[in-house]
Amino acid sequence: MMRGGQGGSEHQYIAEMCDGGRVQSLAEIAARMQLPLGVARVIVADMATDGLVAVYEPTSLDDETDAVGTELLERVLSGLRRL
Amino acid sequence: MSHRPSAGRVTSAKIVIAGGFGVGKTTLVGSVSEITPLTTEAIMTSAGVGVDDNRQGPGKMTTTVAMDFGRISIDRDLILYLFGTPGQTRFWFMWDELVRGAIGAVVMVDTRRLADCFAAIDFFEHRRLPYLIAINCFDGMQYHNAQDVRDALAISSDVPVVSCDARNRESTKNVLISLVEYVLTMRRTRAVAPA
Repeated sequence: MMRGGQGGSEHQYIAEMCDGGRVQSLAEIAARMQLPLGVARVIVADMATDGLVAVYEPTSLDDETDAVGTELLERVLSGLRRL
Repeated sequence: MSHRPSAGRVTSAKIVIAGGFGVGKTTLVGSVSEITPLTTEAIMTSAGVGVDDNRQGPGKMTTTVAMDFGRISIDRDLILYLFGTPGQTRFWFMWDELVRGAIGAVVMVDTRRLADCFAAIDFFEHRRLPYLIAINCFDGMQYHNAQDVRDALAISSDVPVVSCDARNRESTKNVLISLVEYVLTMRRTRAVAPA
């Protein structure tokens, strides 16, 4: 997912974690890099500004309409039952 | 934002795992997560928190807060995250961010130390986040039955109280299923009869 040669080794590491469209949580990036969450947040925000990564806001049940929230819950439920 | 996953929008959902120190939060996350539970640390500047010893000086102090999390890929486009809350109650200000947008919470209970979970229950009641009580049966032993626990915790009769063995994947899975079923039931009831 890296474009060009700019960016430090942190950028490279994060880009590799997200390679091939894999979605990673900020918490997971921070844990794997052994960085405080706040630091990881800043690095990822910089990368997003440069277009190196896409940031997806988590789906929030608070923001969703009832129909969307219910559909999401049903997907989670059937997914858990399949595990 | 040119690097979108090919399968369209990926969504995530989260469930919060709470309970007292040593009640088995990390174990529960680990038994069902597809990754080894990771610990992330947030460095907090704790000036004004007022609990830590401040005699070292008037300056700000930093404290490290650890929280565990795990991941379950529900399907290609949906990831469920499990977040264990920091055990130390003085870090509760972090919980606001943790619970935002969460499906609900599992409050883990050790019946030998029931009071450890009171604060978590108060917090979720206050935030109106649906939760259930999961009695972690250490060594397969359950020292109190569900009704005793319900009475002792003075929780509403519709809050599910389940028993589990946090080490067991199937058992943990069933706890999560019970929580999501409960949240769905609450939403449907609300839709039928708006308060």
